[in-house]
Amino acid sequence: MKSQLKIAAAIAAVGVLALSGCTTAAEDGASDGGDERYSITMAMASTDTYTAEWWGWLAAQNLGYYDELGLDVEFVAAGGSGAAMEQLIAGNADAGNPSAPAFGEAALVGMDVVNMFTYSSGAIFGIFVPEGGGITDIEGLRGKNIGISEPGGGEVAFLEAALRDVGIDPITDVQLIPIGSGGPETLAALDSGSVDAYATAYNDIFALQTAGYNLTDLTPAIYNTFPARGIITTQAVLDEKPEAMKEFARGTAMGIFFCLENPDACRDMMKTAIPSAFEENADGISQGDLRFDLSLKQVLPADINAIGAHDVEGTQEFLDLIRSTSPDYIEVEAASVLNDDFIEYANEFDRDRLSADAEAYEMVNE
Amino acid sequence: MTLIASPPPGAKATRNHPKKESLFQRIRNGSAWITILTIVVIVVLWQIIPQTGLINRVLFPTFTDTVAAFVQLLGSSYWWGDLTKTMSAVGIAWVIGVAFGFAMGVALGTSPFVRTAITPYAIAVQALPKVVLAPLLIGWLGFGSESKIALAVIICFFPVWIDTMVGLSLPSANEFKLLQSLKASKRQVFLKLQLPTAIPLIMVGVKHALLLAFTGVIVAEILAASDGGLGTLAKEFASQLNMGMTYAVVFVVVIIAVTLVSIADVVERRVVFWSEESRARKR
Amino acid sequence: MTRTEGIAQVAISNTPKARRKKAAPYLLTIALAPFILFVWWLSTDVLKAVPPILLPTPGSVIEAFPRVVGAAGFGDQVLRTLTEIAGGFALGGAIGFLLGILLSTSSRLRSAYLPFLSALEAIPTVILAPIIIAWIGFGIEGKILQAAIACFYAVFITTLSGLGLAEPNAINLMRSLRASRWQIMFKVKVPIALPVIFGGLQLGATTAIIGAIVSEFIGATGGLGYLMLRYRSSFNTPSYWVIIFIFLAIGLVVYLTIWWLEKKFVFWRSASINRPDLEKQ
Repeated sequence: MKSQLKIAAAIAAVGVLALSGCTTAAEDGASDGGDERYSITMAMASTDTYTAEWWGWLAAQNLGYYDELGLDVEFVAAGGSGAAMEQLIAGNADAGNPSAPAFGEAALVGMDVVNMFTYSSGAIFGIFVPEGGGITDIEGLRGKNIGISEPGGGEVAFLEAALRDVGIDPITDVQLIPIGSGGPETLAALDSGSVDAYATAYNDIFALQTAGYNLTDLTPAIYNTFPARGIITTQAVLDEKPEAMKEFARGTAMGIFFCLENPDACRDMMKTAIPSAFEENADGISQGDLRFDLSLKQVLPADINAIGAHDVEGTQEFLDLIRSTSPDYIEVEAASVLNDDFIEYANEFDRDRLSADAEAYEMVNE
Repeated sequence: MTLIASPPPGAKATRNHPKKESLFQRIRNGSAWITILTIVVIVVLWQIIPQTGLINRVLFPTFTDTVAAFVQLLGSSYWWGDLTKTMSAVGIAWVIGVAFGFAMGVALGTSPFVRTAITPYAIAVQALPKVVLAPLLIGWLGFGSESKIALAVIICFFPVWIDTMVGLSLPSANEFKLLQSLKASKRQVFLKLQLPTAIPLIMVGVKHALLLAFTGVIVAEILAASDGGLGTLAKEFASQLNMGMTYAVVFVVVIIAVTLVSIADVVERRVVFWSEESRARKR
Repeated sequence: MTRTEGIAQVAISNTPKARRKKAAPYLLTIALAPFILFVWWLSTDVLKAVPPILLPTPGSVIEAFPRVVGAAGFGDQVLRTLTEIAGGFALGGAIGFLLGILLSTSSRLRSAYLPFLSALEAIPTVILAPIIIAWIGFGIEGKILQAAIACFYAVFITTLSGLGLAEPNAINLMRSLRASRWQIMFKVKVPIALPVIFGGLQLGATTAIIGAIVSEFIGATGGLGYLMLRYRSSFNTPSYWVIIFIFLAIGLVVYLTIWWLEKKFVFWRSASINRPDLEKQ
């Protein structure tokens, strides 16, 4: 009996130790380095570290812009937007790039989250119908089955708002069915007629289109101007290492500027970083290229001298829209979750030098 | 994600799995022809059905399309990197899982009291998809390959643990009594009686742990943060609706799994043979 | 004997003295629960070692429980998941059992098809999900099929091993009595194999549960796995953990049910094969 107790005690001790190991693991990396160098862990919202849209970060890292600002940035794949947000809130990452809906949901349930740099905006979500299917406008969706990406997906709020605008009750007049993010299950659902329309992120429909499945875009214009993605962090991190985050904003702005000067250079870097995303399909089309092309428009800032600047009004509309879908959400002021302390500093870099850099870039792939 | 049942250790004498036959024997007794014929039928159907228009060709590419994609995959620059990432994670997870499972089995298996007490917990946890623990593991171990290795360890240690525990209790009461009458120490009973008896069953667990470590790593790569790997590749290609490449990756996964099981079979038979022989000699 | 039976085996004993002794370990089982709760509470509430978004405090989970269970339509979601589990288990178990019997009749078939079936087992169900959805859509049928695929192998492989257990003498005796193959199968082989098959059923049940939950992660319109995703996407970690605990409970109940059925129907088990009696050690 005694030895049994010992065993039980040993297991318990291991359990307690392991659990308390959590804090120590989360703290390293925060305080090393001398007076000038900082390190940051950036949780990227995908199973791969980069997607074809995230060239601003990749370029800054590859070209050593973070490094010259005294920053060691570790980009890590967090799995997805929700997972990136979780780890950010848990304190295991200093920043992350979860999508706007994940950011909005976190803000609306009262989490400590802040957008310190808007990376891209516009045309996040769309409402699509198969071409030649007879539906020509949103009103035509009454009584239909509408596919969404996943339960609680970011597009649901937009879809519901668009339906309400034309007098369709999103709960009783239509049926929402999760059919995935443009992969095989989505094609199967559309192809078999299980759904009559599909609401999702814009990027999700490329695969369908290249597979020869043409869709008509019914998205009302007002839903095309929302902020899409930013550098999301927490007030706690901003208080703890404002210097590091400030430099991170500048480095990212530099990366974006470089890529806008020479997009092909960044496409080239991206192909090296995530070759499988640029793999051509049987028709010789690569998803990576399509997504890269769209992202050039989405990341392009309204004012090239204010890269990373927020759209406060758009963010407020966006938050209010999501809030309208559930009584559990609290009211949030856009200004309270947008931090523009670093935007000005971020844009004070030598543009001429970067233009020269961009011109001098030598291609690696083909 | 799934557990495979062990064949009954009590059935050692009438073991159902026949001795692995040579290819020559298999051709002579006809089973190889059945295998080949089955493969041919599958390939022909695979080639013809997508062309008939009965099913969507984008979702179900023909056999030749898939082979072409397979060649494309093998010719790519990234493929070896992803394969290495997956396989090294599997190797590490398997070793840790086996060691941990064996240690747990010995610690708890020698005490029926503790074993009985924790059984309900073990069963409840067994029926839970371990992927739900992914966020916690990432929080614990960071974003690198450690978290996916940990997930695979949690999935794969279980059969080793249970098989060790059960295996150590296999000797009959008379055998225990005999050793006790000879004033054997607990240690001696363990080393001379329990462990040798348990080895065939433990090896079954070790073998299953290998397959589970493999599927565990793949699942972690598909559903959670993963640091690359074959699972991430499969997911990437599926999201592009590049199904030829997706099936090419699945094909690789299946080949590896079958290879792993075959290697484990050989090792198992060697070890079990050795342990049974050495037991026989001591008697 | 399979590993799962091995653990359950512990509880089997019939002498009155042993019955009292038998209860003692379960006192520890019960005592462990508050201990686990304590460690959990200590690491989340007191030491704050684990951020609540990853592992919520016990208090918040208990608080979330009535909200999750009382939510509109919760019963339907549970029923849906239970239907998937039961349907998948019945289908997978039946296929596994029949395949096991079929392959046990011919060593040729066995060596020809065993590799294929093992390969199928190696494919993670998450990879199969899109294919199944493409094939039979988003309805509950696809989820049942996924659960069935997840569980058939455990039943199949144990059936196959179990049917090899009958002693050649017993089969020869039956043959000399001019019993048909059918009779030998169902009068000798299957009864002897049943304890082993039940072990496979227990394993299969747990894998069917996992298969059903995972199937609800991709392209599902309802069920507990679907609910879980919803809670996670709105960062409602306590409710997410409530569902995890419900799954743990389902796993335990299903396992115990099968164990009880086995005890009830396989009363000849201890006589048929030489099983270890763990109590006597």
